[in-house]
Amino acid sequence: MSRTLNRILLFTCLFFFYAAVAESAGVYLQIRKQAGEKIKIALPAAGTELNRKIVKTVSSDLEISGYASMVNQEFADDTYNTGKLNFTEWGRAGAEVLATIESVQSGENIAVDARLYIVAEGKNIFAKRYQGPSARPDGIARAISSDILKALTGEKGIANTRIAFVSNRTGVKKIYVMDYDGRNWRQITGDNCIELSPGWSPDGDNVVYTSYRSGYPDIYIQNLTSGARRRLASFAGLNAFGAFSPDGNSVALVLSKDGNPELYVMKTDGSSLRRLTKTKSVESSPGWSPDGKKIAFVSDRGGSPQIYVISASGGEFERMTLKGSYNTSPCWSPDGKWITFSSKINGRFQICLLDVKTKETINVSDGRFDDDDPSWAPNSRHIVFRRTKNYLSDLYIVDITDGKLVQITSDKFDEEFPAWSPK
Amino acid sequence: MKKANSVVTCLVLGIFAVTCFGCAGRKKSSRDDMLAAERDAALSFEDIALSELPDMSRFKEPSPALKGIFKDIYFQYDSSVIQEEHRNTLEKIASWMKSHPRTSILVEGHCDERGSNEYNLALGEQRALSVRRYLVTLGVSSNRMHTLSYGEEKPAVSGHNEEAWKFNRRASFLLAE
Repeated sequence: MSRTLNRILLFTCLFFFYAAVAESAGVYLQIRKQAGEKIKIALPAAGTELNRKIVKTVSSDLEISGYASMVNQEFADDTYNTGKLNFTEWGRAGAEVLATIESVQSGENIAVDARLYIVAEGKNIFAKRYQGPSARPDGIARAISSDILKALTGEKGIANTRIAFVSNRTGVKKIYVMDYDGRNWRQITGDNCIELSPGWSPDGDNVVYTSYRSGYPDIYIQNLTSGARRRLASFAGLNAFGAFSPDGNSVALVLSKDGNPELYVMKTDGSSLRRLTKTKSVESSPGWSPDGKKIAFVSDRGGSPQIYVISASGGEFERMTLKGSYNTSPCWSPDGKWITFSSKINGRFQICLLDVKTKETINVSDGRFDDDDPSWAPNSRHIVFRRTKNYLSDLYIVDITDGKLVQITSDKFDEEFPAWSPK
Repeated sequence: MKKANSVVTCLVLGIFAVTCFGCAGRKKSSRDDMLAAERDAALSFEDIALSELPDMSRFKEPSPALKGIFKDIYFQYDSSVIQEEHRNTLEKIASWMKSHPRTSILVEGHCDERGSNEYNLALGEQRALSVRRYLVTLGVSSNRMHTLSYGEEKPAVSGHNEEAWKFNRRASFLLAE
């Protein structure tokens, strides 16, 4: 008996040891990442203007990822150009990893070679060729960023993700989709009516949103590639805050058809409508737990808006926020550990993290401005949110591990309702 | 009349509850829920389903003559409770509605710019529904009253102070023959 058990244990240990070795061989950063340290990467800008553009985007992606700090990009440009990489020089400049990006343009296409070297060993750990239209260098840059991060950390990061949001830059609040760092805006409909509250399908192909197209607030689902859309919910009264379940089969939403704003779940084909709440209070802003079993939402049943959680099949509410008089906009982290929300603290709206297990909260905002509407990146590390300064709203992303902030929209209009794509 | 009385009682209870929440501040998250439960028990709150919506284009602004009856109803911050000072307006609307049975109304609910846009969208709807519910208790048929929330998207007055905000936390009316 015990001998068999020992054998099983031994086998299990060996298996895990092997798995750990296999994992770390290609994943240079794994151990350092756990220690919270950043890897120092040199990525020299060189070559044509187009190549420099790609390098700039990749550098920015690596920096924002939180895993890298970029070193002295101008240094040793000549060694890079000649193709003779002087690792001693790069080491002296503080680089631990050297990345090179070189491109050859032919007609309307571009071929780009990306390589990674461990400076201390002069060892090449990654090399890949990318091809695409030279009119869209960002597409190639994002792919390179994702692959470099994957090679260094084991995770592809957020370089290829997008953010859906609302802007009033045309004078009407419309839904746009942009790259996660605020570039390449695309308006998703040509309508001239108010659109609000976008959310993503788990495959990242569809956006669900509220539009006043019929004159009334209805919920639509739209495919981002084809542009095809359909109306999911157009009951009498309010139809709003559509949120896809993690399996993509259901949508949580708020309807007032029964005489009060209440939380419902329906299938994405419009069938099987189920009511989850029956209150005389306001319910809003549902967001699913990553396992699809629970829904976080806002209710003012206690006299002020607070964050509650309910089973996706209905039942009792569980109150999650225990302090503050105005807690709204819950969003569950993809790793399940946190619910981020906005809370009014000392007269300012601030982004907070709620530990789902302990219900303890941590402030992310510093309280200098009004921050709200948080949404998680798929890495459970970054959050996009709206910051309002002097009654003008822009979007920011924050790395919750070190509080590093990047402003991603900056104009004289309002950007709001940010929703980070799930992949 | 009895119905109207119970509504008044409820409103008073509601205002009382809101006042309590306002002054006591942070400590009482569980008490909040308790008070809410009490409020729930005090009010017999039933669904009053919304009927099928007419085409939006059928609703028009009230004529200048009717503007004097269909006045905007204003609300306290983060509240959909009908204030005492607006009951008179709602009674006039109710009696006009009863003498014009072919007219239906669209109650639009609005909020001031403060707070979550999403929550305000739901709060605006609840304000419109609260007006509708009050008119139901005054004897107006629920199927003649529709609701539409704009949240904080259509302020009546621009400005970033209470002078503007108090006119933006409102329910307004459109009419269809």
